[in-house]
Amino acid sequence: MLRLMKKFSFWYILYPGLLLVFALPMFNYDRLVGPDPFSLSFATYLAPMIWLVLAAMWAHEQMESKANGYTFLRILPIEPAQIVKAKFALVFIAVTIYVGGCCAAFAMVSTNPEYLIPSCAYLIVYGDLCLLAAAFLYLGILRYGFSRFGKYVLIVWVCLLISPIPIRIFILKPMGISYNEIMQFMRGPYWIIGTIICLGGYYFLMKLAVKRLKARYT
Amino acid sequence: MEHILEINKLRKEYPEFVLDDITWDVPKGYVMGLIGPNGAGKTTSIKLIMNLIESDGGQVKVFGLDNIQNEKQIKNKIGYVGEEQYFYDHNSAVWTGKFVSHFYDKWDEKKYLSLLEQFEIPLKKRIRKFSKGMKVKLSLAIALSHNPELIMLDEPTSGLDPIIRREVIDFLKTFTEENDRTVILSSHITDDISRIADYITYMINGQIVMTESKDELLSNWKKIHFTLESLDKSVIDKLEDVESHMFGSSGLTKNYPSIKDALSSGLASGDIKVESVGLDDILIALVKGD
Repeated sequence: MLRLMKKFSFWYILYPGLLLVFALPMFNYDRLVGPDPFSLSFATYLAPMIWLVLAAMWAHEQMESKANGYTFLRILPIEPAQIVKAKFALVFIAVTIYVGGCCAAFAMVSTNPEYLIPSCAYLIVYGDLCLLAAAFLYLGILRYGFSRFGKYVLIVWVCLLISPIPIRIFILKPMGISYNEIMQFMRGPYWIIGTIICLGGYYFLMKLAVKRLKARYT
Repeated sequence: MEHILEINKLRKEYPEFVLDDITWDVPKGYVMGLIGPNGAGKTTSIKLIMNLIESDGGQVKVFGLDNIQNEKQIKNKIGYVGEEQYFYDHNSAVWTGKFVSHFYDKWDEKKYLSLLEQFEIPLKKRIRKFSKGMKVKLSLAIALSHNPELIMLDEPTSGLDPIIRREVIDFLKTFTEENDRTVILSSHITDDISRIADYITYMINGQIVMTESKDELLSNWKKIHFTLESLDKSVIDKLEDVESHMFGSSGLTKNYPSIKDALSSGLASGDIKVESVGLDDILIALVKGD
């Protein structure tokens, strides 16, 4: 499986670069040091960047599709489960590194756990959602093939990437709720329960994806 | 005789084609040629053996193991070359060898590199820039470099020019003679099969119509040229694909030894002539008689 992960990892290694390209123009120093506590503001900006993992996933699957990767692997003594597990593991590692890295950075700059914990919880919840989105998109790719389903992955990715803006404008603002309040809400046990549920769901969807690939292969 | 492959009532249904409960054994240590017209079910059979498609019934045992339950173990011992060649084609032949080596227990890197050299395959050129012939040779190099006990070749020479085709078949012939491997070679190019096969299986319309050793097949099937006066009608009735020409008639017999005596006087007088047939003549006769 490690060999497969190495083969599949090209875009996942490249995506931190993408991350910077996307993230840097969005940083506004004045805003970061504005009225909100540092890590909370930072989390608001950094969390949606996690969706770039889906872009790496899309690029990887496009490359596999062009190279007929699934067909090539099919004739080798490799179980479909190994292929799916390698792909799911890469998404998981990418999300974990990103969320973990951000949380570590927050821990370094934040001196007040009042702000650090909700910021990290907010990012972890985003990571959880990213895992679930990736798993569902993988199911679609394995069910319909990249040539048919790839465009939907892109559409979903773009929608998720820009989703904080309409959520803020059309939902949170009219209700008078800020992202910071959401983060404060998440400091409770909800994010732990949510993470456990999401990880369980991710594992379950991975098993489904294995079945899906087996069915596709035969 | 030990069988490396045992197929029992294997079935696959498509809207316009049915692989019809085929039962087929392949003896160990021989080259089995699988001959049939396009759409006969050769590729379907091989894909079912490789578990690349799902069957609708029946059982396949390779090395005595169920091919679905022991897929990984079986593929480890099979060298497979399909009709179409798939690789990560943005990579080189050397990279491909290194990549696949991790999945085979008995990968022989030296053998792989020597095969690449023998086939004159560029080591570092991207595979997407390879010709069809080079891709077939690369497939063959991969298929043979992990010391497979069974080699399955599904129309490997289809679409190749005659020179490359001959080169590939001659290589396979030498390789199988030297290494005592079991080979299943599917093709509708009977010349290729005739050159290397020990056994021949004919497949027509999703059914196996005949499996026989090539020597027996070619000694049993003969073309008889005769005049109507020189041959008894009961013998003529046993012939297949009978045709009348300006100077007489001709037909195929599938059991020459059984009519040999009846032909002796005609052979002596020169009114009857016996001609050897090719595998394609037999295929045509079988297709016509189907």
